[in-house]
Amino acid sequence: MELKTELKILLAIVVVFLGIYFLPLESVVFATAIDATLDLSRWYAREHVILCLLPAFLIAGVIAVFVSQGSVIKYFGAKAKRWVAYTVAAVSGTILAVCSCTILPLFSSIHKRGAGLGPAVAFLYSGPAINILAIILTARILGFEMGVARVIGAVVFSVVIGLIMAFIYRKEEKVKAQEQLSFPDVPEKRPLWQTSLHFLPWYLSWYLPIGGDQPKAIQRVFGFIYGNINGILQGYLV
Amino acid sequence: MIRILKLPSWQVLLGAVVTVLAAFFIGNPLVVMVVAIVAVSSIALLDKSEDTDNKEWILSSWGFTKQIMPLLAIGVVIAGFLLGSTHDDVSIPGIIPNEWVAWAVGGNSILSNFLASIVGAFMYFATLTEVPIVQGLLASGMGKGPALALLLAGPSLSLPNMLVIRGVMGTQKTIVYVAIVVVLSTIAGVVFGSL
Repeated sequence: MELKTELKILLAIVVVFLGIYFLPLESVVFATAIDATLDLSRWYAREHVILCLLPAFLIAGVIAVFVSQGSVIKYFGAKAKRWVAYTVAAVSGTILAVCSCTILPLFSSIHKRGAGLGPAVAFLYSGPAINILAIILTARILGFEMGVARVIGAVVFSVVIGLIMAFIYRKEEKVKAQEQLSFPDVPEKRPLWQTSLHFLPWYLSWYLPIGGDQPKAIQRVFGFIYGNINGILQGYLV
Repeated sequence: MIRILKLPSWQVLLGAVVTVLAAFFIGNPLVVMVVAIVAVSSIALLDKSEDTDNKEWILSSWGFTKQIMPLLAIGVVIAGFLLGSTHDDVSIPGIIPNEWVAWAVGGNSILSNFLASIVGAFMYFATLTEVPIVQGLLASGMGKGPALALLLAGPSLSLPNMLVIRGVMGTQKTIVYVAIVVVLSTIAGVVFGSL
């Protein structure tokens, strides 16, 4: 038995025990906080998991399996021309992500597939940040100058943050670039446009409910339309 | 799906029909989505052709699910407990009192911009919910600068997000990323607030 591990286990047990022993159940603040925790969790489960996350996992799977590593490296990799990589990253972040949790599986996927750290982070930031609807809403409710400031900030930030990250970790990225140069070119089983076209119904249908943040009525309508479109398009691609 | 992924047509049609039926009979979009996903996943998993891409697609998606869901769950629980739950017409405070938050981001000092960035970074904001929240905070005295800082740091980051990002790029890079976002948002807020 290793002493360090056993002590860690003991510590964990003691901490949990003390936590529960001293639970401030009489405190209203504490009870409200527990209420908030449960409420947020339930809301998240209801509004985000099925409509937002599940399709995102599938799309991340698409990127991981169907989009050849060659394509990812061509556009996002260490060899790609910088302005191409960052533009593609920022734009696709804008198009693809609808809710801040959905960007996560996608980011994980392109990162795994060899995207450069800079473009990947630009993608990660831009997804939720450059959200057309949110920006329009910001301009309308919080004022025009706030909307403008937000959109400029978001676009500039995604590129700048990506560049900064790439700069800080440039040595690591250089090593990755060397490795990528020596990757054998696996022939693509199908051209990129075909993969995109095929998964277009998914993107569209996923976009319609817009992460479940819209009022319930609109959500039901869209869900209805989505169900039909997806079914029809699936059958259409015969 | 049939031509491009080379899946059996009867299966795809069956899946499509089931989805459409679900849409007609059970209006709930959540159910329809689940039906569609189950249909697509089963079809792809049952694909017996030698090109295993379709199966791998679903298995890879499952891998992401396993990797990401637990982290999000933990993050949501912690975020809810600390910062409360704010969405639609619900506003339940967490352990950290609302007054503290309102006080922290009032005015337009560097500190208030910085704190606004931090709050934005850790608190979970669903798309579009950040606007009413900022509206409420502006009403309680938050300055324009901190408002912008919150809007720039908020959507992309949250505690659940950070946990997942950490799983992808490692703790150090995640901390660096969060730091960059917070610093830039603070600067943007300070600049905007003094315009």
